[in-house]
Amino acid sequence: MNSAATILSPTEQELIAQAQGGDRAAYGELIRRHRKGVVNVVYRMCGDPALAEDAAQETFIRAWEHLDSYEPRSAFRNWLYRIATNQALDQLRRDKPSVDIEKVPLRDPARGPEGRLERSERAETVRQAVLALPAASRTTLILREYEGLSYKEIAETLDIPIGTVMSRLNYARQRLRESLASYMEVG
Amino acid sequence: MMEHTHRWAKLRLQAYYDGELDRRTADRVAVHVADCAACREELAALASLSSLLQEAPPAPALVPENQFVANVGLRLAHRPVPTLPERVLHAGWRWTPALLVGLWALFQAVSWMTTGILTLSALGVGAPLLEALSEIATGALQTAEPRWSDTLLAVFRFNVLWSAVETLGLGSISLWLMQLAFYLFLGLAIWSWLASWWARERHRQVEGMA
Repeated sequence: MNSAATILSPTEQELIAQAQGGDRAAYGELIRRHRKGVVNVVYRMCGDPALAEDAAQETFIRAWEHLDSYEPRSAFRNWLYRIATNQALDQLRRDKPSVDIEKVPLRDPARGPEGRLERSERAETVRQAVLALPAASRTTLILREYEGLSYKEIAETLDIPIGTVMSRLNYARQRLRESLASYMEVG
Repeated sequence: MMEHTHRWAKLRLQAYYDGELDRRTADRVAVHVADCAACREELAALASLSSLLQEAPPAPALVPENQFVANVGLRLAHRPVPTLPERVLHAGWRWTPALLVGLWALFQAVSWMTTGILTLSALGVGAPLLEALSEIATGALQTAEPRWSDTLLAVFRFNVLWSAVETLGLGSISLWLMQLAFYLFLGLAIWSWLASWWARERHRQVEGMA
């Protein structure tokens, strides 16, 4: 079981302590370290890069406002992701994207195994398939497959039981396997 | 038996793939997978899906890093640095339950000690002991800081008096009530602290999830 000292590197721990004392330069360094991860999480949830940048900025602003409530028993990254996923869900509620996993274009089976798709087209199809998942399952899948969080970390980040993490992940993977079945056969 | 083992392993395949099983369970699943084509196929499908998912591109960088940090910095509210009284209050709040338990423990220890001494004295055994302990206690306390020695001596004498009055049966009900009031005060103080701690934790969770 990881202790708090092994979750945070000493340098990051120092930066957080300084930021909690009002040091904006220290917080700026924390933003640099975690910006990419936060933006990617929100982008994969929302699908819009501009929205993702805005939501990521809001994430860091809210994190600054509630920095006193952060405690080292969980990783700072995971605490940020919690705020980021909430920001992303707020964006989704406001903008209501209409991607339906049933309407994700499938590879034309008539092209046969010898046919080849452009990598960007396949990548875009995969991205759309993830966006078409229900928000709860999509969040869990993104944190696991793209950010590499453990079940326990996902449960803490989303404040859900580990069993719920497993069932949402299983559901997301099953749906994606159905919608991307032809790509998986070729790959 | 084989079917049972297969169902057991199938339920754990996802966790096995994600490396979330403990060593013993993972070994059992691995043994089954080595003999089960269906489970191997399932694991291969999970790996294939993971590989496919990685093809989805990450977010394009619309804003340079320095500009992003500057944009956030412009919108950060001023964070007041907590003053010394605020830090002391915050630390004191955290230490309150330990102090309350310590107060209870001190009271109990002195009470048991004096009860024991008076009991021995009542049995006719402890009178010399009682005198000797009183001399030692008084002598030792006189070497300490005056205010601490007065306080401790007062607690000691109060408990001796309390126990003596109890033994003589004088006002036992009122003394019992006083003792009850003391424990009620301690209990109420500890429960109040627990309630405020729970409220703070809930507030922090709500703020984090809002």
